[in-house]
Amino acid sequence: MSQVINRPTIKLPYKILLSFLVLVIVSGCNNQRTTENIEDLNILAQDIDGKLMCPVCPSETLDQSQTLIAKQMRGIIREKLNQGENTEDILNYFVDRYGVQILAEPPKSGSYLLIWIIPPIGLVLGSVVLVVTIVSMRKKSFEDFNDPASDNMDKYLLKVDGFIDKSINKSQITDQQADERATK
Amino acid sequence: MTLVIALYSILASLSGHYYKSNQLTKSGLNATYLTPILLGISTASLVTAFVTNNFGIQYVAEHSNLSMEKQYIWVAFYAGNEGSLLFIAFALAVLSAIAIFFSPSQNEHSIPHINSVLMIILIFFVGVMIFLANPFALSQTIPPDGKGINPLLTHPGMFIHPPVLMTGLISFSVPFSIAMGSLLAGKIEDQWVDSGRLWGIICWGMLGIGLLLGSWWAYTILGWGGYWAWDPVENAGFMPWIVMTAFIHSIMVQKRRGMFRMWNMVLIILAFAFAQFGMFINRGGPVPSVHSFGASTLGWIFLMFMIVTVLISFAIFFIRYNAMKSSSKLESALSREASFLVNNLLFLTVAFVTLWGVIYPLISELTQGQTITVGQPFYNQVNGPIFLMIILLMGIAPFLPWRHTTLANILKSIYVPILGASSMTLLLIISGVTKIFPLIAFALCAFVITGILKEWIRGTLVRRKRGENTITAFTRLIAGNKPRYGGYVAHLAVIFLCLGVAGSSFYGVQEDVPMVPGEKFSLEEYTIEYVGFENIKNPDRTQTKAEIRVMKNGEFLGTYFPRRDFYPNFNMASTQAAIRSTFIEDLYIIPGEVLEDGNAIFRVLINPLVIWMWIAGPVLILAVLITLWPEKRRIDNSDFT
Repeated sequence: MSQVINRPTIKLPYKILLSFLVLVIVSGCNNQRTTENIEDLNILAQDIDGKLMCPVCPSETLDQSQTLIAKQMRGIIREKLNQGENTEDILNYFVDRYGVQILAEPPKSGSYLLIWIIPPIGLVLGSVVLVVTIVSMRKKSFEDFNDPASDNMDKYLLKVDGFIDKSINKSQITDQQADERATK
Repeated sequence: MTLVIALYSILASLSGHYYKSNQLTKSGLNATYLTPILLGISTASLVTAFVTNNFGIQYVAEHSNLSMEKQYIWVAFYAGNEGSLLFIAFALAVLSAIAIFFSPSQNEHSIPHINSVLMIILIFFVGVMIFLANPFALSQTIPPDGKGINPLLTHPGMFIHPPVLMTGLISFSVPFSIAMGSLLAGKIEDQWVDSGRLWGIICWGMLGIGLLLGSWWAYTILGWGGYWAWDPVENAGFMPWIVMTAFIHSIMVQKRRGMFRMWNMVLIILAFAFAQFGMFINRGGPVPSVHSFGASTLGWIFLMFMIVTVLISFAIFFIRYNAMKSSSKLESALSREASFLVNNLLFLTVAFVTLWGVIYPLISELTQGQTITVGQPFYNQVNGPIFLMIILLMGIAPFLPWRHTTLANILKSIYVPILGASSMTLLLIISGVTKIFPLIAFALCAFVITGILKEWIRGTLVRRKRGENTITAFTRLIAGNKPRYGGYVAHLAVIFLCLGVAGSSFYGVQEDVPMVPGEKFSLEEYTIEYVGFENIKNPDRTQTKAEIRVMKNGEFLGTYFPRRDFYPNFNMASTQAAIRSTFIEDLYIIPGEVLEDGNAIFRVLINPLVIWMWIAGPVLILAVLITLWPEKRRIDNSDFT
């Protein structure tokens, strides 16, 4: 009753899935509310508001905070935008005055890169562990199945054979005979 | 008193078990039933102190005053550190009593141990209250009036958000105790799975609703138009919820096939540890937050309790390691079992990414002396894609059968959902939705919804062929397999959440506009007219109500009254936004400070699809009810095997 179990060819669909996932991840890095029309300074200003923390509030961005200093900072941002400065310059202006903690997210450079790198590495490592686990779990189940020394299945297989015989040859074999056959 | 009773409960029930004395065990359990009554009396006394304005008690003086509206006394009770501890202890006592009382017979052997674990946790909270944070401590002098309640808390959402959230968090003790108790008692094959799953889903539902209520409160009262900021305390409640989501999925595999025994044990320990970590952050933890209960040194006690719990739990886990081998094998990578593993991986990644973001500022400060902020943009960029992957999995996994299937079968079952997703994508691109992240999000939502509807329609049609009318067919379809269809409803709730988040995050429009009375302002198709304002002086606050007329495409929609209240005692302002919700979008208006001449800066927002987030709440509750609704028990021989 043993048969060869075919390994399904799963390469191409997994490639498609993988590419889709890559697309998802890449789009994730672009999922901040970006302005489609850079000339719309108001939207750009709101963007920058969301990138800076209010210096006196516990964990609120400039966009969220209602304090006086937040309003002043928002005013400075709009002033600078009107003068033609770009996002990076404005952010650097505040970093120079308040330190790097004024940014709502750590810069993606230098020693701060660590905080950004660890999550994807973690996910990749986790996926590797997952694949290894699944493969080893499957291998164990193959071994059990194909192991001639495992007599767990044989007893039941014989019993099944007995019952099949019994049902085919209804008049010829009784239950008891089928049982006897199985337990031999 | 409760401390003594709880201690007795542990000793009696455990010794009853080991000395095989049924009566002693029963006595221990009865002691557990006594604890909620005792703590209930304590709770009632504290509330009475508030009602009678007994400012001799320090806690009452700090959190209420004479002019406070009586309806907020209940809120004041748990607004502070000490009072919330009493609430948590009371909630735990009630939940423990319920859990023990309704414990199924298959857990009978482990009941004394389950009970003891629960009581140990209760002793911790009562102990902290008695020795470190007594809500009944007396003031040194009796002040004539109290300080009053934090103005941000005087909102209907505050009646239910903190209690539900706190109850949700502490409720994690129950499935944890069931698992740990069974582990200690040596019965860790699958006896604990049924009640573990039941309580897991109950906790998950409660904490989920608590989180959603918090978002709703933030949206309506904090005045910035958002609902989730990845604030450390929000994350503190979010992380255990995510781990519990992983648990309630993979426990299904253990229930169905006796697999993942060890892994589920690890998961529930992790879930409880995250819940404890949450309490640590909440109480004077080292990370600043809009939520903090005020600086206190209590946080470290909770951290230690968490560490001790984790160490002891894993120690017991390793001791009992061998007895937890699975009874079945994983047959294929293309199976529902394997998909649950992927599910767990994704959810745990989200939990640990969030944890990473919360503690990294601390690490950075300790190791480099450098203060940095990890805020919303970080979590959005890192967790965002993982959420999308989870939604993708949510659309495929329900079609995977147990044990094994072929790729061809999978593709066949997701063919219709893919059609649905593609048509939706095309429709969206034509209507102008071109930002890639929300486009993918909406496509995936369409993918999942199509899949769910396909199953429902197909199932209902099959039953209709047997002669039932549509409604009966559909109801009986759900009743026939409540866990499965409850799961579909829960997934639907998640999709609604996703719709709300994607819509408002990427297509929200915002303007801060200074206006004088009589002035009009237009944003997209809406025109708002600032008619005037009114100042109302109350003993503890000045209310400023603005009158706004709203028109859309020239048609008058209504008059709204957004409000700003200033509390001189706290030097704080709270706002009440005027929100006009439709299924498509919210129009959201909040006033800033209103000057003498009526000059004010209004923040006007158009937030698409937000209402779907709030709709998700009742849908989630419905899902939990469907999933846990008891089956009519038919007594047959199989019950006695």
